[in-house]
Formats: sequence, structure tokens, C-alpha cells
Amino acid sequence: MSDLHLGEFEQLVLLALLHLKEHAYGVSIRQEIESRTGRSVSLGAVYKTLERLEDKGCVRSALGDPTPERGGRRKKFYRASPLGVRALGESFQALRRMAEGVEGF
Amino acid sequence: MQRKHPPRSWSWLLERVLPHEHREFVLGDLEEEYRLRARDDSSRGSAPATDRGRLNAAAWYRRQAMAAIVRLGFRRPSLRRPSRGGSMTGVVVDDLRHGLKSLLRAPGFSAFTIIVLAAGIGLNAAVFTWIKGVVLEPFPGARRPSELVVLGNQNRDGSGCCSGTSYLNLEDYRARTKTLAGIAGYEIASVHLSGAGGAPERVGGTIVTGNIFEVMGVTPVAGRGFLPEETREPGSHPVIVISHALWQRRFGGDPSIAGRQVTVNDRPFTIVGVAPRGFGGPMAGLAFDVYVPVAMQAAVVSGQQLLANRGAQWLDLIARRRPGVTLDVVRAEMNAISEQIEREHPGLYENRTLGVYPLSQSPIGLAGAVFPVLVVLMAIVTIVLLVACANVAGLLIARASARRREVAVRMALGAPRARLVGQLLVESLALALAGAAAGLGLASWASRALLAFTPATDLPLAINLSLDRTVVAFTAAVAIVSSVLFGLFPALQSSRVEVLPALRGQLQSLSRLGMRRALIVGQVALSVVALVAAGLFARSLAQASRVDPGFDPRGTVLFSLDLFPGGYDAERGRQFFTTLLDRVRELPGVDAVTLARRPPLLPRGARGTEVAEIEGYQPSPGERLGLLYDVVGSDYFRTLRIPIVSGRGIDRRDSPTSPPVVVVNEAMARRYWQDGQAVGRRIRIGSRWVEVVGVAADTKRRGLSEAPAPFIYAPVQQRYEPDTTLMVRAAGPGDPGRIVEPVRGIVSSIDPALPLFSITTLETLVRGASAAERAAATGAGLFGLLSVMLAALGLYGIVSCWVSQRRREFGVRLALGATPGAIAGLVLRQAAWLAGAGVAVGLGLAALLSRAVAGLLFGVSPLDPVSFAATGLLLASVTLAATWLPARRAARMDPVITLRTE
Repeated sequence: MSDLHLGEFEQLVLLALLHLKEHAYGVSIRQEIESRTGRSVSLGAVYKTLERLEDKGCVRSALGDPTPERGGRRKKFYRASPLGVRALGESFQALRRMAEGVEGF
Repeated sequence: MQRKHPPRSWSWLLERVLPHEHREFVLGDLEEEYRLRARDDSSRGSAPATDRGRLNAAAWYRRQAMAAIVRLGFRRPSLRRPSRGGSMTGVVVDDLRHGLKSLLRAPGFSAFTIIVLAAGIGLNAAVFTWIKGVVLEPFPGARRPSELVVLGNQNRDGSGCCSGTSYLNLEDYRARTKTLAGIAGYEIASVHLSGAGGAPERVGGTIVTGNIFEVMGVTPVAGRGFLPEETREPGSHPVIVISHALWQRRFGGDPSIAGRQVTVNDRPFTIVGVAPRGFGGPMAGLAFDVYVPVAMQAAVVSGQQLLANRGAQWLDLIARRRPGVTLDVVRAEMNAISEQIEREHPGLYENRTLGVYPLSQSPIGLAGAVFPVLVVLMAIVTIVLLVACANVAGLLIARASARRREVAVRMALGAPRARLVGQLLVESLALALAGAAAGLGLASWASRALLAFTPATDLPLAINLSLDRTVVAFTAAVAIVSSVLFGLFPALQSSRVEVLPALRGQLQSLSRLGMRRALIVGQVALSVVALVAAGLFARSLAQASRVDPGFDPRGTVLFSLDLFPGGYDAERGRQFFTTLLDRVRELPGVDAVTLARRPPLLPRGARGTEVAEIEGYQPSPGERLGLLYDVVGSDYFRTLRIPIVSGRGIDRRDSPTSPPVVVVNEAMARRYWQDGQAVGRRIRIGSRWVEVVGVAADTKRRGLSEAPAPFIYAPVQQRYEPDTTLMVRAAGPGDPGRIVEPVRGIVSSIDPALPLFSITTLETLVRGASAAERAAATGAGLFGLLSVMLAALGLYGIVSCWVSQRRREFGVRLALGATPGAIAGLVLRQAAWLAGAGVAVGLGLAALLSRAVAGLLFGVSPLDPVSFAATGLLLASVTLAATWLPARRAARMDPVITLRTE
């Protein structure tokens, strides 16, 4: 059991990475979270979270090619690492165990 | 219309601000999504910015950019990640964020400090606003106001300042000067507007030479200024220029204002232009609504054709230096030209020249009179600011010991000392800027409050007290300097922390209170200086109020009226005055009534006249016989209760048909008739001989501190002037204002269209004469008290600190049998040392500095013992009050508890 604790938004981002598989980058991650949760999400928040996750070892990145739509800039793709997947699972479990037995939930 | 590229300013900002590791990718993502959205927008058709909550592409980009800056921007290099990013600004802003967070963590401290700084900085901004409005930028919109100078007609040796200049002389100076780019003349003249636009009203106006706008460096909006031909032939072109305010108010900002007709003093005039917004004319602090060219002078002021009379000194002058020319060069040239004029017109311009004054020393108008008071107030608010800075510095030093651990941690992690000092300085800057922002609010209120001290006047007062860019820049500069003043030493001290003991939580070697003590002494000393100043000005004010003006100002109401706009000629005017005086005299509740062209102590003062000859007096060669005079109605001396020393006053037997007479004052009799026989002597004014029928006691005319000057009173029935002041003394005690309505009734029954204005009392005028002293005393008093309160708080703080540090010692003493009173005495002695040192230094400083304000003091020596002693006493009581709580606490300590700790 790792002692990595994931914040709520960190969990959302990791889940988005799992959905998007190899197509996960800033734009798509943001849109995935926005469309699924209905919250408005800023790109800055996404990047900040990805940075934290990368520091914790939950996420790995790789560079893509530049495109003209991006003004000639490259993309950075993100994937959840095995550690990240495990941490996500543990967070989920923790939440489920806490919620067990709470009335009206 | 969506652009293909995202908003450039925002992407530029992001390039600068985002850290290296994210920059390329964030910008790329944002641009990619922006293009998608932009395409989406144009396929929907041009949508409004929010279409049921959906932002258009540019708005979305902006919002995302702001969020990115907040979350990712200015990241300081973290310990884990070697960063290749970070710029200088990044570091500073980062420190700012850190500083803000730490300030928010101590809200009480921050709030108090900000309030203290707001007071110090705000008051400085308020006084600066006045200095800007009256002296630095008295003419908003004028090009390079530093080039403007005031020219005053005076004697060549500098005495006899200042009278006006005649139009012909002005033209000569103007034609011959090479050092001045232009000279303009003006004279105040209120006018009666009627016709198009609204109800008839009386507005402040000024007669000007045609080049007035050019000399002052403003360009009329809507229309134009005056053409040369409009200012040449008297009476030929009835045109006026109006003020921006009048244009909006009366004409609704009509875009076709140029060419509109309006009636001025019952004559048709054409408006040819509008002065720019905020511009009020050539007199600092006043705002005029109408500019009349000199050629139309006869329609607006009474007086024979003043333009052609070289002896009529009626125009005040304002001029613009050529760039790079100094005042001394201009003065030399004015003297040279005046000599030429004297030679060309013998007898008409003897020994006179044009003195050259910068705006801040102008002998005419508000600026010169107000400036010295403003300087004093500026000095005092600077003292307040210094006390505030010292106070805050003391607090920061005290707080530094509480933050030792935090600082030690950062140093242990490798932060260089310079960086720490920088960060603490940035925190101080944040405090100062917050204080400055709050201070601007205070400044807005305080600068308006100072208006209460301007003396009552019938002139249209309008001082530009707006908090514009200059004021904000000044305030920011003051904030920055203050932050260094109060922040540098505490920052340096904080960074001198012993890392290991601090990390372990050990108390540092007892923090010595040395610097804080010095700061307290400084605060007390500065407060003493401010309070001594306040004392001196208060005593001045008291002296000024005790001056006998020479007349009885109680219970007398003044009404100004002007028969000229109503088309009265001399005969009708005299008749009007007689009827008016007779009827008002009969009113119950009226003790006496009279007229005078200018009541005494009115800021605009009396006129001067050239006297050609005084019987029985031989003038020395080159001596000018120019005397002040006023035109008064019958019963003048009785109404004002001015004693007649010999002969009689002006009364009803003085009429147009009776022999021309005058009454003189004692000063005149003393000066010109040493044998004491004034009554019966004659004086020649121009070609007219008048007989002196009485001598009246001296009165104050221009100011309370003036020495009596020779003065002549002429009867209005013999020397008609259409504008005058009705002076009515109410009978019996009670509010003299009760006669205002009955008098109004009488005036309107004689002439319903004649307005009465500037209704005030003689007491108000007398009080106004000491307005400068009152402003200085009140300002210095309030600010001095503020300083003392801050110093008292500082004293309380440091004494409390000292008491806590000495807990054990007090415990021991008490245990050994000392009385609580003795302990309290120890505490008091500590405080007394500090305060005493401060008072001694302060009194010494005050003694040195008070000489500088001797010129403003009235009947009080700069070393007035009462003021000094009172200040010392006040400080003693304040010290007592500030130390009372800590002393009580010390005396009440339970020795068992204090000895047990540690």
C-alpha cells in the first residue's frame, strides 16, 4: 500500500488519462473532464495538477510533433503510470469504505 | 469578427510569465482550442460575447490565460525540479505573493499597520493635492505651466507691490519684450447673462486681452479664441468665449455653440468659442465662466474708456517666459522697458516697473497667500509620516522575533541572505502600497475638508483637487520611499538570525530593544515638533482674534449689489442709493445702514488712486502720492462704529451739488499734516480739489497684521461707483440674519430685477482675515495629536515588551518585599527615560526650526514659552497614560507564577 494520497482533482485528471489512453494532452483532458463532470475547468489547473502527479510519479509524459494549429508548438502527451493507477484504485477504495453505512447516501 | 490568431497581448503576457516547463505546451493547447472555437463561432454567425453563457473564442482565451497566469505563473524554482526558467520580475512577484500570504496570516498586525501608513501617506497626498491645485498645476490643461509668471506693477526698488497696469503700458511691454513669449492682461468682472439657454443669472467673468488663451497655453474646444481685430477697436465686435462648464450647464453642450447669441449686461453678444474643460482662467484657484475681450470693456465694467488711458491701472498681468529664460533676465528687461516708457511719457510712469513673480509667490490671488501655509502643512504631515514609519518599523522588528523560525528554515534551505532581505522588503512594499491605496481615499476626503478654511469671498472659487495621475504617482513614490524607510532595518535585522537555535525553538539571546528604543525617542521628538508648531499657530490665532479691527463687526450684514449691468447711469444710481438707504433705515430691527464699495478685510481690497497734490505737504523728489480710497455712503462711520477723531463723517449733506469733500484716516493725517490740522485742508485728485472735512480712526483694511496706511473716504454721491456693498447693522441682540429678508424685500420693491449676492456678515470677513492662521493651527493641531497618539502606542508597546522581559526580575523583587507601587515606579521610570529623551530632543529641534515659520506667526515669538511648556506637559501626561496599563500589570504580578516559569 503506497502512502500516496490523491486530491479530488488529481483523481479526476487520472481518470481522464485512463479514458483517453494515448490521446491525452492538455486540450483533450480538459474537455473530457468538462464534458463528463459539467464543471468548467481551466487549462492552468489541469497543468498544475499534472505537474504534481508527475512529481508523485503517478503520471508520465512524452512529447509529440508540432502542428500549425498550435502555432508550430509541440504537444505533450500524458499517461497514467502503474503507480498512478494503483493510487487511484486505493483512493477509490478508501472513499467507498468511508461511505459504507452512511445513511441516505 | 474573429481573428485567426489568439489575442496577442495575452499570448505575449503568457510567454513572459509562464515557467519554462509548461510554456510551449500551454500556449499550444490554448491556441489550438482557440482556433477551434473561432471556427465554431463564425459558423454560428457572429455571436454576442455571451450567448447563453457561452463565451466567444477571444473571451474564452482571456479567461483561460488569466487562470493559467494565476496557477502557473511566476513559479519560483522549487527544490525538486531544477528549473531553467524564472526571470527577475518573476522573483519579485513571487516574493510579493509570498509576502501577501504572510501578511494575511497576521491580519491584526497588517490591518493596524496599513491604517497607520494610510494616515501618514494619505495626509501627505492631501496636502500635495492642494499644492498641485494651487501652485504646480493651477491651470489644468495649460501647456508647460512652469513658464508662466505674474507681472505686478510696483516701484523699481521692489516696494509698493502691486497694482495693475494700464492697457497702453501693457501694449508697450508686449511689443518690446524679447524674453517673454507673450503678456496677457485681465480684470475680474462679473456679468449678467440672459437670453438663450436659461434664466437670467450672474456669472463670474473676466475681461481679457485677445492673446489670453495663447499665453496660457490652452486651445478652445468648439469654436475659437479671439481674433486680433476683435480686441482692437473698442466696442466693435461684441464677442465672448465661455467656459466649458457654462457650455454644458446653460447650453447643454450644444455642438453648434459658436455663433450663438446671448445677452450680456443687456447687450447682445456672440459666443465664438468654448474654453477647454477644467480651465478656469488666469487666476489660480478661481474659475470664470465668461471671457470678454478688452475692446468690449465698456459694456462690462463701469469706467470711462479705460483702453486709451495710460494712467488707468486696471489690468493684472500674466505672462509666459521663453524657454530657458530665467526670472532675473526677465526682471532686467522689464526694468529696461519701464525706463523707456518713463522717458517717453514723463510724469505718468515714474519709478515704476513690472515685478516678475513665479506663480507660487504671486502677489495677486490665491497662490501667493496660500502657499506658505501649505508649506507648513506639508512639513507637518511629513512629520506624521516619519512617525508612522518609525511606528511600523518598531512593529516589524517586534514581529521579526516571532518569525525567526520561518526565516531560519529558509536560510537552512540555502536561500541567500540578500534574497531574504529582498523578500522582506517586498513585504514592506506591499504594506506601504496597501496603505497608499487606503490613503488615497483619506486624501480625497481630507483635501476637500481643507476647503473649509478658505475665507469667504464673492469670487468663484474652484481649486482642482482631483486625484489625478500626478497625485497617484506622488503617492506611489511616497509609499516606496516609506517602505524602504521602515522596512530596511527590520529586514536586515531579521536576516541576522542564528539558524540552529532558531530551528530548535530556543529563545534567541534576549532581543535587545535598542533600535526600538531609538525609534520611540524619534517618534516622541517628532511629535513634540509638530505639537510645538500647533501651539505657536494656535497662539497666533488667538492673538489675531484679539486684534481690534478698528470697527465693530458684530451684528452687521453685508449685501453686494451692482447697478452697472442693469443699465443705471450715475444720476439714476445715486437716486437709487438714496432711496435704498432711506427705506432700509426705517426698518424695525435696523440700527444703521450705509454703503461702501469694498468693506474692510474683503480679500479683494481697496483701490488706489493717484493724488496729485496735498495742500500743506511738500512731497520729496520722486515720491509718489498714491493712496488707497473707498467710496462710501452717508452714516458709514456711525454704522461701522468707527470713531471720528475730528471734524465729521460723510453724511447726507454731501451731494452732487455740494462742495466736494473727503474724510481721511488718522494715518493720513499723521503722515501728511504733522501740525495735526487736517480738517479744512484740500487735496487735488486729477484736476479736482476736494476738502477734508473729517479725520476717522484707523481701521484694518487688508489684513490684521498690517500697519495703518493712509486712507481716503469719498462720498458715493459725489464719486459714483455702481457696484457697492450694502452694510446693515441690526438693532439689539439676536441673529442679525433676521433682517436679510426685509432688506431683500425693499430692494426688490425698488427694482425687482436687481439681484443681491454674496450675503455675508462683517464678522465672517473678520474671521476670514485670519484664515491662514486658522488653517495652520487646526492642521498642525490635528496632525500633531495624531503623531502623539502613534508615539504613545509605540511607547505602550515597547514598555509592555520590556515588562514581559523583566518578569522574573519583578517576581524576585516582589518576593523580596518590594511594594507593587515600587514596581510600578520602575516601569514608569523606564518610560520616563524614553519619553524624556524624546521630549528633550524634540524641544531642541522645535526651537531650531520654529524660526522658519516666524513669518507666519502673529504677535507670538517663535520661542514662545507657553507653547513649549504646554507641549512638554502634554507629552508628560501622554507618557503617563501610555504606561499606566503595563505598570499596573507589572505591579499586579503574582511572584509565584512568574518565578515558576522557564
